[in-house]
Amino acid sequence: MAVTITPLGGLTGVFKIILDTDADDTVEANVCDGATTIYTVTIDNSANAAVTYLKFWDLALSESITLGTTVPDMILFASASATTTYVFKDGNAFFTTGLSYAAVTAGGTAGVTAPTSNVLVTITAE
Amino acid sequence: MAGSLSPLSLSTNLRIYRQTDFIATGAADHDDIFDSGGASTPVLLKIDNTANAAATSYACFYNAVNPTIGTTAPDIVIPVVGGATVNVAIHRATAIGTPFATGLSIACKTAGGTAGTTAPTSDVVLTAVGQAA
Repeated sequence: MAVTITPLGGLTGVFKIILDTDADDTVEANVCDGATTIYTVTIDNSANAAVTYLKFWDLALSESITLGTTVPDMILFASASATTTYVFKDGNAFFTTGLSYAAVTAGGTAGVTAPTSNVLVTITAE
Repeated sequence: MAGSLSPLSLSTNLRIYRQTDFIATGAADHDDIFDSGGASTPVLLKIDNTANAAATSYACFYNAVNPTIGTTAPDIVIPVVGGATVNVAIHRATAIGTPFATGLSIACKTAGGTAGTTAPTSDVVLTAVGQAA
């Protein structure tokens, strides 16, 4: 868990780059501090020979999320041994409460196992 | 049920699939949408939820053929707020799309995650470009 959030256009910038050098089964909560529009998500799963699923919740508190039980609102699939990027043209403004996420080895709602090796996640959002 | 599949002239493996009634019940034209009989690679997705003014729809993509909607875990889920359209481009560092080894099947429902079998009230339109390989 090593999350760095960089605002663009100075400290008051609304655009942010979120870099997580070890996305795993620990929920990173409300990384954009409230309502969020996502533009890109890059999942660097090159260190893992197995697929990874990045799951997102529109919830602000990690205490509100039980991994494997709380229904994820968005799931992005990352191929094994590859870096996969999702580009949302014009953004996806679904997340009105807070943007929280975790990375596990199973899709759907279930799954609580973290990827074996580090997964790097980069999100651009506002 | 109104799915159509069109090959693109540049490559016999590159196809456009359009579903004007994207639903949750696992209709036949929602299974193996690129008609590949196996591996499929989604590249571009356009999910039009404008007909549902106030309700979010969840576009679900399964690396499976004939998934049981509500039970089979989706591999990709994209939420689209009411009255909106979301366009997604998927690529890898060395190739377009992200490969689904078994097949690409779809469902659209009113809940995220695995559970949920309720279709959106009004038609959601999906346009998907991908490779049947």
